[in-house]
Amino acid sequence: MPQEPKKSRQTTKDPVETSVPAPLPLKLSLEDNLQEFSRRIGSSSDIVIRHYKSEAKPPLTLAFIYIDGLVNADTVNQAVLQSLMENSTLNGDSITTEAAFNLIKEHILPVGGVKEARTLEVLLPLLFDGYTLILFEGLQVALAADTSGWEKRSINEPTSQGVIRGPKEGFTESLRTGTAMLRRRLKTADLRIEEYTIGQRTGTGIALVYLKGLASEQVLTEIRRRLNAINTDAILESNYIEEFIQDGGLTPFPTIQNTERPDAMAGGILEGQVGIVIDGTPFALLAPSTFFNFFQSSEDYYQRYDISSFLRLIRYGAFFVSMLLPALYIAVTTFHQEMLPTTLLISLAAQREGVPLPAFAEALLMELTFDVLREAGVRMPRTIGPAISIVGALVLGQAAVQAGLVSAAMVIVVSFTAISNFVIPSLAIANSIRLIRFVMMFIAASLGLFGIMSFLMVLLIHMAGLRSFGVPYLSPVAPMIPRYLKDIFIRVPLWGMNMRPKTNLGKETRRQSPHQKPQPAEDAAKPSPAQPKPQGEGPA
Amino acid sequence: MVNKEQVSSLQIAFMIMLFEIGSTPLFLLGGTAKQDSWLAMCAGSAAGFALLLVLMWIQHRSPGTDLIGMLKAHFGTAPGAFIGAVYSLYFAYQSMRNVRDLGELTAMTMLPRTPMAITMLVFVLLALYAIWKGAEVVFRLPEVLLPVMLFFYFLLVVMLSIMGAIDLSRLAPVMEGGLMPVLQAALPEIVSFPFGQMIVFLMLWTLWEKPGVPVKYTVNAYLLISAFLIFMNALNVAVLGPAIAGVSQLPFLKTVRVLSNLKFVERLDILVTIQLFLGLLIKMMLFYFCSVKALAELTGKPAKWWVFPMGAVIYGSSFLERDYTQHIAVGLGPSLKLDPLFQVAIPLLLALSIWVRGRLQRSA
Repeated sequence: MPQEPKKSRQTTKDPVETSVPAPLPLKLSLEDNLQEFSRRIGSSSDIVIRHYKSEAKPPLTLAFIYIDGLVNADTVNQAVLQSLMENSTLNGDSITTEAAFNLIKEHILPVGGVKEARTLEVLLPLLFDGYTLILFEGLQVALAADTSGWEKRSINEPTSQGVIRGPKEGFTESLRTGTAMLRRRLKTADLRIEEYTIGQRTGTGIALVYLKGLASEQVLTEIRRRLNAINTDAILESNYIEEFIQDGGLTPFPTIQNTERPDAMAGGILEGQVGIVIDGTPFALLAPSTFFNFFQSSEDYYQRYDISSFLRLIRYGAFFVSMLLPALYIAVTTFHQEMLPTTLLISLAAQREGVPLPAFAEALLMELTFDVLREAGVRMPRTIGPAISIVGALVLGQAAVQAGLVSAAMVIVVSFTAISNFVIPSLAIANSIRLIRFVMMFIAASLGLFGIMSFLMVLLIHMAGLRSFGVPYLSPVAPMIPRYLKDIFIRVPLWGMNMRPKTNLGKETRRQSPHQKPQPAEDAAKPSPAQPKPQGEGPA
Repeated sequence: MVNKEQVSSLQIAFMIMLFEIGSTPLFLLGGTAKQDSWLAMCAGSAAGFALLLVLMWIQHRSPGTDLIGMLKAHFGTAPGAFIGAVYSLYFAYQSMRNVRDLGELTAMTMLPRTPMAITMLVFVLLALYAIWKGAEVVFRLPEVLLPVMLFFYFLLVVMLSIMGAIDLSRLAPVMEGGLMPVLQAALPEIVSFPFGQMIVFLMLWTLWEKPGVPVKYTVNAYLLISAFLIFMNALNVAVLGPAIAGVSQLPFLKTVRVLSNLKFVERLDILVTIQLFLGLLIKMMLFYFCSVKALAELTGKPAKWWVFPMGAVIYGSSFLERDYTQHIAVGLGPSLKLDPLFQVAIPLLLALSIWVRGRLQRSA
């Protein structure tokens, strides 16, 4: 008996507890409709309701509803209000309301998006999207004209992923700007943009961007399924989506990339990944992503391949340094002193002589200190930045060493670890190893090098079993596909990458014609098919 | 699970190489042949290759069936199941030998004060974790580990040759005592470790994504790795000389320590330790995996059901031997006598049975 009401409450109750009333058709009376409106949305100060009555007999009575701040005032005034009020046919005597409705819909409104709707449930979201609603006395149908135009941040240089050479524009908080930036980079009919609205209270627009034919249908179906399964009241940032749809909830490794750069996103889409642009945040998502994707920076393709390859190898090195260096220091000083050259060992021992803490505690303390400093650097007001630098560099570094609290070697180890962490282009994976580092240090303190190797094996086994939307996380290394390794540890010249280098379950497709390696002028006599055509000369 | 776990030809090739490397280069096999130990390796490898051909032929003639299935088909259900169970135990025993090897070597080189019980437990748990994740994950590991391992070997070899530590004259005179000492050193020791251990692939070839045996990849992998092992063997002797290489417990560690004597780099033990760890881990993992797979097939239970019990058995049995001396004594004594039975005799019986049955079928 007591279970019965509980059960029924669970089934009837909306899981996110927003009120979702039954669809309510509009009434004939304009007054009734307006009353229903104000009952629903209250009398918020930003909602503007404009009544209009024509001079004709019987008069045509309309009401305009829009939200101040979401609409472009000029558009509303000129395109909607003015064009309706000054139209002579509309103000003529012999026009019925139905005729007026059709006339307005088909002819008068000079705006792109005009929709008609019969229920409040359809009208309200449009209103919140910046539409101007036009309600008619005596009609059970209303019009909505797209007049949206709110204040947006202008396009700026991305702050989280800078480049020296390459495009300097980043996504903004506007979904439409984001999709437009991608559209501008991918001028092909294959580009598909699917929009979803997720979050009952935030109604966040989410756009799935992909190239038809390149993106795997399997992956797309899976992403759509997971997006549709999200039932929450708020999506405020891309991470909300990421956490809801990513594989392997219990993994320290990210399986979805995020980027602020439209060029990086276009690059990913061109390799068969699916982009997810989210309204309200400049960070967009790319899936499926393998481990190695996180080490590729879009700048790799904007620089010469030799330097790009070198930098990429440096990144992998920095990844391991950042993950292992403090742990190795602890392991070697605690368990394996014999592995150090004698002179180095003596110098380390001399430094550690006055230090009161064991190596592990010392390392833990310094690592935590650095994380505190780093967090402070992110949160503090810009104006007091120099103070933090002084405190960090002098007090916690030099003074701590001089006071004999930590050894100088430890300061070097921690600094190098910290700097290495910033070499990794993706913050997502850099953050995950920030945590792994602590586990590693603990294991190194208890089992030495053996522990470090064991934990590395655990990570490897874990990653070998991980998938991102069906794509093995370590591909194309494990499972190995040798011809895809051209863009993993090194980057071969662009003319050497004729096939799409990643395995995203998509079809293997050619992306350019082969044999484009620049040749000396001897072959210039017979023009190669790959020679770029001058622009504007016939269809491409 | 709907779709069967499958592995690619490349994964099998990588697995063969890593499995065969195992801990082999660390020891001097065929030490009794003195400076001709590398020739003994050649002989062992050649004999192993003949054996491999037999194994591949068996697998080729029984597509889609692994060792357990073949045993049941050819020796009758009950006797076949019994032999299968014995094989499972044999694999577990081999796995346990590797666990113990690692425990001893870790205590010897890395963690002298940590109880072996802990290091061996960590080791078994690592393998358990991978096997729990399934064949696909197990076979992905060599693709990452083999390049790492070969890179470290390459680094050491390059450094040894730069420092001029390699003296090929230590390999002379070739075949001082004729062919006999070489063959005596090779048979059966080198055949049973490491080349004869290819028997485990009778359990694994069925995982291949296509039916049959990836002949090209298997043979190439085997030949490549044989060449590598022979080279490493010759290297040990060329650096240390047959006398020292023959008596030391871990000649390769000694070889690498030669580098520190040259005052170039102080200690590269860490590289050797990593190689040791990885090699033993993969070898142990694969034996453990085969043992679990055999049991799962015999009992009709899913493999995951046997992962933990088998892990416990392997871990527990690794304490049976009193000390390293006994461990080595067992390894070189009873173990070596037993190996040919599992590695050579039973496969040959299988091959015979297949051949006879094929004949009978053709005549009928």
